[in-house]
Amino acid sequence: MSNVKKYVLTAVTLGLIAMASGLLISGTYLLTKDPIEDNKQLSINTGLKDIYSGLDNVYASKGETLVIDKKENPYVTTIYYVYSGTSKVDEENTLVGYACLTDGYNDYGRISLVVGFTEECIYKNLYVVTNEQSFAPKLKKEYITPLVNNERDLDNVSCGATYGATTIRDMVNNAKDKVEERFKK
Amino acid sequence: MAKEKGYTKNNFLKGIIAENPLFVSILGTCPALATTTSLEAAIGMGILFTIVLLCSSVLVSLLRKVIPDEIRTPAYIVIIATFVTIVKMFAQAFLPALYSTLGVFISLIVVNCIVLGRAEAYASKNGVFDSFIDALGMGLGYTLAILVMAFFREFLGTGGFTIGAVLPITDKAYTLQIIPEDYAISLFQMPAGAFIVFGIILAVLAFIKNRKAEKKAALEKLEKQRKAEEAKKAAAAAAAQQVAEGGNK
Repeated sequence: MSNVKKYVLTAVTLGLIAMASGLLISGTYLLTKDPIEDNKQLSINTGLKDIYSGLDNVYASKGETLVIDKKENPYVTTIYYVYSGTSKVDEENTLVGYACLTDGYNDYGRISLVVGFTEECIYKNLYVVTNEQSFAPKLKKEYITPLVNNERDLDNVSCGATYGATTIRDMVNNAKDKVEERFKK
Repeated sequence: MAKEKGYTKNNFLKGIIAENPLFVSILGTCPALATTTSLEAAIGMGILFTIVLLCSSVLVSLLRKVIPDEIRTPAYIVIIATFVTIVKMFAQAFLPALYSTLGVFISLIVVNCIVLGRAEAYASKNGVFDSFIDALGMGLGYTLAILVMAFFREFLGTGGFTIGAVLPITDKAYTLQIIPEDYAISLFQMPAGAFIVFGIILAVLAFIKNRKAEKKAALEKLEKQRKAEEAKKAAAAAAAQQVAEGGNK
């Protein structure tokens, strides 16, 4: 009987600690949800400005949210229409291309990118929103930066952080497929 | 039980010098080697680490009489993981540049042996105030240790220091280039450079420790010799006195 009491006490204690942790994490999530979303949006806008540099006041209009499917669509989460203009309703804004927000994972962590395309669905450039790979600095230096500066081929993934580079290549190709599927005339 | 005088001060200082978690106990080396490419990243890591260590030590100490022995370790892991998740969310929301620079190493604080080690070895056996002081000392000690490493790695690897790129200290990033970039040794920015810097610092500390021990041993030897000479002199004086007394008789 005393053993049962001990087990129950142990389970209740661990349960209470876990419940208190859950409550604390939920509270923090509610508190930080909006700033995290704002940071993400700010990062996407910065990415669009980088990708479509030279164009005035580039902004993204929410297009389509896609369902991540391991076989059909493993990375793209959202496709945006990208406009240049005032971003005000009833004023002339020009469609300059499409951008995909992509989320990728491998054994070394998470990467999310904004991949930009022209109106003709030609790949333009990419912007890294988050790079949580354990080899992040190496990946950035050897693959991402040369790729963004057009000094490296997308398919040339041997860079000392090959897993991360392969994930980025697959993410860009997945985005290319999705944009072509929808908008290529 | 009454505590000896200066206990709190020693409890705080031991984490910084005598029991420094990184340079003396060689704990938490993985994040120390990975996040010391820049001074700012090291400051950020040190602050986040200290917050997690402080909160978990205080809570473990508060609950030390409630948590049964059988589930001590899982309970501590849950507590530490909770604080790491909270700190990670706050960093993602309010310090996005630091969050993306430190990446997976924020989450890895959960498995940092210093945090679990202090919970198990100190906080679970001591009061809240002492655990707080111990965690503060250990956190500061770890932060100072990674700052020393980051100082050498950033300076030698990039030729200068960047401020404002990771922490929101200034409105834009400023770089203080001390030696031209062409003369910087980029090896120090790589993992191999981290090991080299870490090894050199440990060697220097071992050298200082050995010198101190040698000096102490030499002083002790001198003291022993002096005492032996004094004893000899005293014995000679006593013998002379005895002889003199014998002559008088």
